[in-house]
Amino acid sequence: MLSEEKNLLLCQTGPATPMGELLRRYWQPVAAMAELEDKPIKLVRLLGEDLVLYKDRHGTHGLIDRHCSHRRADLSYGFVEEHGLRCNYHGWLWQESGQCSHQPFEETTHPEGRFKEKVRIKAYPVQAAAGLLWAYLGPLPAPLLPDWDMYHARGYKQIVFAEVPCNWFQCQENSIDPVHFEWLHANWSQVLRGEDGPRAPTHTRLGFDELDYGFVYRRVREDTTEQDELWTTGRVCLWPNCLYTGHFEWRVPIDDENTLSVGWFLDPLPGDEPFEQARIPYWYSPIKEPNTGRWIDSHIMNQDFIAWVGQGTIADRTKEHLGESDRGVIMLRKKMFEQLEVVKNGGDPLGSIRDPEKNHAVHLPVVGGLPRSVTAGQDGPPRFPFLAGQPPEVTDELQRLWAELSAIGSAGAGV
Amino acid sequence: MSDGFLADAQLRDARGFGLTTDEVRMWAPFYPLEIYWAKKHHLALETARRWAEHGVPIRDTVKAVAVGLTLEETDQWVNEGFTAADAWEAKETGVDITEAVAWRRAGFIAPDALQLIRDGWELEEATAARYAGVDRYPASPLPA
Repeated sequence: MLSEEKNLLLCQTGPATPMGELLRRYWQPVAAMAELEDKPIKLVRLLGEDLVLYKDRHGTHGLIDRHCSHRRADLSYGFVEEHGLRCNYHGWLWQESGQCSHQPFEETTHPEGRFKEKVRIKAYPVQAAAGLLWAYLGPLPAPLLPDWDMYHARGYKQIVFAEVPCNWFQCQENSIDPVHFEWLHANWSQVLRGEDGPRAPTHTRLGFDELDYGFVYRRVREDTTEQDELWTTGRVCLWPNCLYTGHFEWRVPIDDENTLSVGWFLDPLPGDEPFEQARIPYWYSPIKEPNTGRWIDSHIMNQDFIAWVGQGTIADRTKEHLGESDRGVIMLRKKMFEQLEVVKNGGDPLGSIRDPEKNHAVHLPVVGGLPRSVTAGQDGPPRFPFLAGQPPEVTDELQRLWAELSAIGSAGAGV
Repeated sequence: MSDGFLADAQLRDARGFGLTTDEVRMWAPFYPLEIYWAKKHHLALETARRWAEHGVPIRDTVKAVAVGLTLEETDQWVNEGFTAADAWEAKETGVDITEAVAWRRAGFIAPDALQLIRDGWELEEATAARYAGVDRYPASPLPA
């Protein structure tokens, strides 16, 4: 249980709020690289700020205020030039630095005024990595964008977005709540399938560790022991707003009432020949059944979404009764409160990486290790279990690659 | 990949955390992440082992040492049904066992209670707040 004041401290992420200041110290994924190749301008609402992400014809990414500094026209309706994004209202041209570089009528009538040099727009740094575009809204110099080891693993990668209409923090609490898996995913799925069999194995023990980039949670269930990797390795609640279990699930605050779920997934592929994926596909997962308006419940993360939105747009933590299964959640909140103070006092918060030497394939523990090859006897890629609505072209591409690489492996084995 | 002593996962994590296999062997049966954490916080192997014999994991040993909690004090908390994590967090918050027991009796697990205490809550006030809006009508005896 928390007071209303403390609850809001966790949930409010706008500019000048304590949590907003903390989250602005980290790079946040806001789009897929391929998304901007398909369409060079994307409207982005991040931490309550309305912004426009673009890729100009030269290939430079920029993230600037949605509203033109001239008379506040909507730059998401602008158009990209060789360098920069031009407003469709009077043609003012903006660079990724926030500098105005062209004002057509001003320069025609009063070029000596050099008005463009005196006008700027809000602009934030953008980086491309792992098929994603990342934004940093905090004070400069920005920390390094973490280069996690899983980004370098061999396999078929895909990025899945979903907009979840609730506050980010209840989503992140789910990242350190091992017991929910037994009920929300295992037992409830069984019920949804109409099965009456025995319930999923019960959790018997939980453990928590810290690492430089968050927490690790460990679990023992009725069907496992402390020798199982679920205990010896555990899973990572990645600071400050991600879950890592071999794939990544970022919970990015759009604003205080909406969260962008950004999933980064890797499917192992047959064989061990070098494999480079030219383009990491992306797609948006639907979260509601079109016919009924009910939340989709068929996939793991969709089930999570149901739990999160069910807690209310902003979960009311003044009314909760926490139990032993919530030790991780309480620990996460405590660490958040501590880190709010760190930032308030001018410090670098948990997980900031500033040494380039320490930012190559940074290790995160994962059950089973980095997927290097497919499970023996597997004759095709498994159904995508995490989010509903995988487009056929993504399913087909993975199946095609699987077949091609299997054939190469078989030919090699026959030699 | 197993070297006959260390499991694959341990070797993997040992490499990832910059540990040598000798270090992992020396620190057995701790896991690589625990060893990394202990070394990062300058926790001696002897201390880690002594606390582990009492069931205290590395993370909690590191915290306990940092807040000046002794193993004997930790044992007292554990004997009262709390965890080692509860013990160091209580010490950090300035709460004794009697107070923690009172909160537990009222239905607050220790870390929840300790957060509330840090936030300035009194037990009675917290108890009243948690049931606010639950019992809309006070229980009354049925009419005869």
